[in-house]
Amino acid sequence: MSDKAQGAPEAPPEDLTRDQLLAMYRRMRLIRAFEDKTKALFEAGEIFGFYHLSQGQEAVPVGTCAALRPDDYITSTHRGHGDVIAKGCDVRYMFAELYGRATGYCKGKGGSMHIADFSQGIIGATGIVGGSLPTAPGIALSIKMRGTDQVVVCFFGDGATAGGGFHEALNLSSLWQVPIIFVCQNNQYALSLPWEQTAYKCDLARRVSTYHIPAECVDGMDVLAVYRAVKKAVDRARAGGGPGFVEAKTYRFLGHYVGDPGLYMPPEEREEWRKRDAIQKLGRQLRQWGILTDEEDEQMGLEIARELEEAVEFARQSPLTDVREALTDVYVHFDYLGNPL
Amino acid sequence: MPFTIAMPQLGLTMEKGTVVRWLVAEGQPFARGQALLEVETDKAVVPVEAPAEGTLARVLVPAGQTVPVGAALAVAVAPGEHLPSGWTPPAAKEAEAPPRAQAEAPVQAPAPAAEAAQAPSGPLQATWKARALARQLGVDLRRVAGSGPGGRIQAEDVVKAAAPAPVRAEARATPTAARLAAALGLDLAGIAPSGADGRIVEADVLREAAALIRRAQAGAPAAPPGPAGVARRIPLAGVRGITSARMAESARTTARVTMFREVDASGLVSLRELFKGQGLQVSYNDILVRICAVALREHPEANARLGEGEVEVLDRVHIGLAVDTERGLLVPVIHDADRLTIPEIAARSAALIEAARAGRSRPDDLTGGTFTITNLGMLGVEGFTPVINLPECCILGVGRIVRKPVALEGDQVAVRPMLTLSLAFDHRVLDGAPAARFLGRIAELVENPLRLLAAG
Amino acid sequence: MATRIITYRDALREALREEMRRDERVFLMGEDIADPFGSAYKVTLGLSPEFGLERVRQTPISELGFVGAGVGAALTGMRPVVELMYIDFSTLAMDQIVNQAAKIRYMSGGQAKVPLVIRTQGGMGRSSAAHHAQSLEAWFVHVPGLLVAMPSTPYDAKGLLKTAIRLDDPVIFIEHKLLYNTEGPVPEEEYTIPFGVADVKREGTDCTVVATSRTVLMALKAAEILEKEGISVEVVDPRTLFPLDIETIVQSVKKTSRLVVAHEAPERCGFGAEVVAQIAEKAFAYLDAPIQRVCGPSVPAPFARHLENSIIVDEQKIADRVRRLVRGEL
Repeated sequence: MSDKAQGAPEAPPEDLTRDQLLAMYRRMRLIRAFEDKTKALFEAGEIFGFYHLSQGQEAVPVGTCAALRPDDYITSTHRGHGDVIAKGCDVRYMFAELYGRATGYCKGKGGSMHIADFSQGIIGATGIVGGSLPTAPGIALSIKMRGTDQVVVCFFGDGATAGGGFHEALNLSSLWQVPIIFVCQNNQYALSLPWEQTAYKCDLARRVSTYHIPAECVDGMDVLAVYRAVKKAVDRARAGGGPGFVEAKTYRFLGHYVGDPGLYMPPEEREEWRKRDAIQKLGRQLRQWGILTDEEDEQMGLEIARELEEAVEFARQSPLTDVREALTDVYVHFDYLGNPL
Repeated sequence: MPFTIAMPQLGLTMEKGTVVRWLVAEGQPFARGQALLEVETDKAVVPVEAPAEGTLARVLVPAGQTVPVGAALAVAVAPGEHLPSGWTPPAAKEAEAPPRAQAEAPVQAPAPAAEAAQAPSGPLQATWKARALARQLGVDLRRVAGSGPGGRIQAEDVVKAAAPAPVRAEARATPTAARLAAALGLDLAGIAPSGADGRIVEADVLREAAALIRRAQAGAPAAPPGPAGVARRIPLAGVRGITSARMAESARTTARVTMFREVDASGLVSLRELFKGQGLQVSYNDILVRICAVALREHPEANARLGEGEVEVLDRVHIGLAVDTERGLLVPVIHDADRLTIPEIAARSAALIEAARAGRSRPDDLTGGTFTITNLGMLGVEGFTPVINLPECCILGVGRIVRKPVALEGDQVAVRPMLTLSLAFDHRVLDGAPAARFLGRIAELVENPLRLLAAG
Repeated sequence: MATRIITYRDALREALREEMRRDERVFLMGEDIADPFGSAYKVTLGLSPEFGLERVRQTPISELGFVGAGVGAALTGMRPVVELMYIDFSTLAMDQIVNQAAKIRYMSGGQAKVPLVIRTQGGMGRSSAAHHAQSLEAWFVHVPGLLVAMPSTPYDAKGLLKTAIRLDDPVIFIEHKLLYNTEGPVPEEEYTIPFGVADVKREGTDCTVVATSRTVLMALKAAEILEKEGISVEVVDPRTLFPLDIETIVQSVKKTSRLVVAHEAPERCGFGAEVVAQIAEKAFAYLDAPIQRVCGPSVPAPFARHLENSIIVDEQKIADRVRRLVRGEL
């Protein structure tokens, strides 16, 4: 495809450096490759459990986390691989977690849906839809009470907005005016239920704005749009301006979980969204801006592939978590039977 | 092959009998013809003899119980055999035939042993503590009467059933606990251990004592303090009455002195063994009768009685043997004991004792004695002061033979079977010195029984 | 050591005040907890004037929201004490309690700790009816990752609450609405009570009664009644349902050979069943009679006072069962 095929060339954005742009691009590609690899490993029978993959949605976590500092927090969901990799998780330890190894982020005790790295402010993904919505305002409250200028981003999907916790979180966040940014990854489906059947004629941003929380709706297939919307909200929150909300319209290219063919997703619709692939879009833009060449792109692809291969190999070679660990980490002060530690 | 000891038909009209007491315990061997137990019918108390030699494996009917003629009283096994595991007592009807060794479900309420308990059918009802105690104390739960609801066996039922329980290896106690229990008069067998290795510790004993006190305090409705009432009345009639009167008179009238002499009974033991080797059942008493008879002949002043204003030295030697019977103290007499050989004395005494115990003594058997021997050795007594059997002037008390260290010539110490002889005499009739000489002769003959051969 | 007689309520307030003074990170959240209302049972009355409305933070009626906020705050450096006005409302927050607070440490492979205390109260006796009178402790004891405390006296309440706040694990701290006005001796000096230590509230030799919360007081009354009949009852209060000091109960049963477990909550799968099962395993050889449970019937709480009273486990019900047990009727 020629550099000029997508209309008039634009100048590179001023609010992001070349390195930042390339980093975002690479990160999105890494997430895509990681999700593809995970699917392949599951189908090959090498890993077990429930996998909810996010191919297609990469721009949302990447754009969001590009606006965050390492000491900011995020909470994630069952479809959180992209969120945690965007925040900074190392794919080696992620694969190790999926393989149930001692070197996994959670020593194999959390798995795909519950990956956490507290050292990077990743306060755990949860397998409950909307499960982190009531928790995140508490993190923001803690920031405010401790007097730091951290922020917390709460990721969730369109399905979670139907739960009572969503409303309670918004209400408390605005009552308390705490530094939380709600980022809704609206991928149009809550399992098999289309967005229109989750909320009645709902303009989410408008609904949320009635809580006096500034809310924006952006194209989730455009990583820069996501970045800019989130950055605005983050800066405001960091300055003490209270909560913010960004709805990113996006799409998951696959079914709800690995093994779900997504028969409820019309093929034309899937085809439409695929054309809007955020990675390809940024790739084109980077070429237009002269930041990326085809060779570099291909080179990047090979590096990512090798990085993932090494990561998988690392996971395969890692020792299985000691079986006795099945009984540990229930409490700080006691063992699982109640004996003091 | 196990065989049954059944309630014998002791009389034509006998329908049932009561077990009076077992003379052989479970696990003990016995000889053919040996008396295993005593049973009582309407008329008498009779020993039941073993039909063959063997070992008593299981007592089915304890003392005090009454069963029909033909009912199985016990099961025995041939020497060297054991009851098969899973063996169950036979039903009453099969008592005649030897029971088949079987591997059926072992836990069922056995009919004969369930006499006193309301044996529930089905699985044995016992609390967990009762089961644990039963294991510890070696009690067979099937033979325990349950006092709980529906006949459930409670811990205290097991403890009762275990008495008198030797403290088995498992139910051991720490030395302090054992001393404390002994001091408090508590049976260790009834105390549940709390020690880690199943040992009874001091705290357990104290707890048991405290619990007993509390139960005692809590149990009875508060009765006002007062003198003891009468729990049971025994009329001073029959043997009891006679004994009572005669003892009183003897105590009141005789000038009784008792002298003790400890003798080496080795010779006595050897002589008895000698007879046994010849197939003759001779008791120590039998030998003593002969010894006393000889001694009395040589010391006629001891074979005397007090007459009207005079001492009458008697011309014949009739020696009475004090016998403890159901009816009380009887003293059958071996007439002319000095003319009988030891085997003859043995036969005579056996017959007399049996008759006395069965209540079949003839009046002649119980009168005319000139001297009495009373032996409490089998009851552990060493020396004692017997009451003189009027109108006699002497009575010899015999104690138990106990192995003791004694000093021999040259200050060597050896362990010997020692026997204490207690001679009580009436000082109105006989003085101390002659009594002592008489006793001395008895002692000499006990220590050197072969000298009997040289005697007249 | 000087002691004074204060109420259960006062003892709890003292614990909160002392711990909030001791550690800035401790703060309260809940409905109506600030002055002048001072919380539904007045436990927090007087605290907001001293600590302000940031640290005595009133919330709207959003149990899921503010319990979740408590989880989030606990995960990121604070030590919240969240009040659920009635344990009956815990149902609204169950996801945050059971799926989040209880499990985050485990699922994160030990990375997280959740120093959250959820204070709540339950129990019958005020004609508060089915939605305001439950005893739901069994639910929480059953969830791995939670600690559960149920104090029965002012002394226990203060000591246990202080410990709960200082622990780094999530604690469900269950008070009883009829205990707030009860009085008892509490030392002036500071003290804490460790979790996992039962309290023998009364020694005895004939029967062990294990009871929780207000039922402990019923058991003690029953013991008084039975003492006059010559029956000596030992009353054991676990104080913390998890961790449970089963060893003290085992030793008691060893002494008495008989066990009655009593609680107000419905019998079926109640906490008592856990005690019974553990004793059946661990004190098998000491039991000389079947283990008894004297618990609420498995029905919701009725409104009418006489109906409610008929199902509360009181001293007569306990005494009656102990009596029959000791007499060998059971």
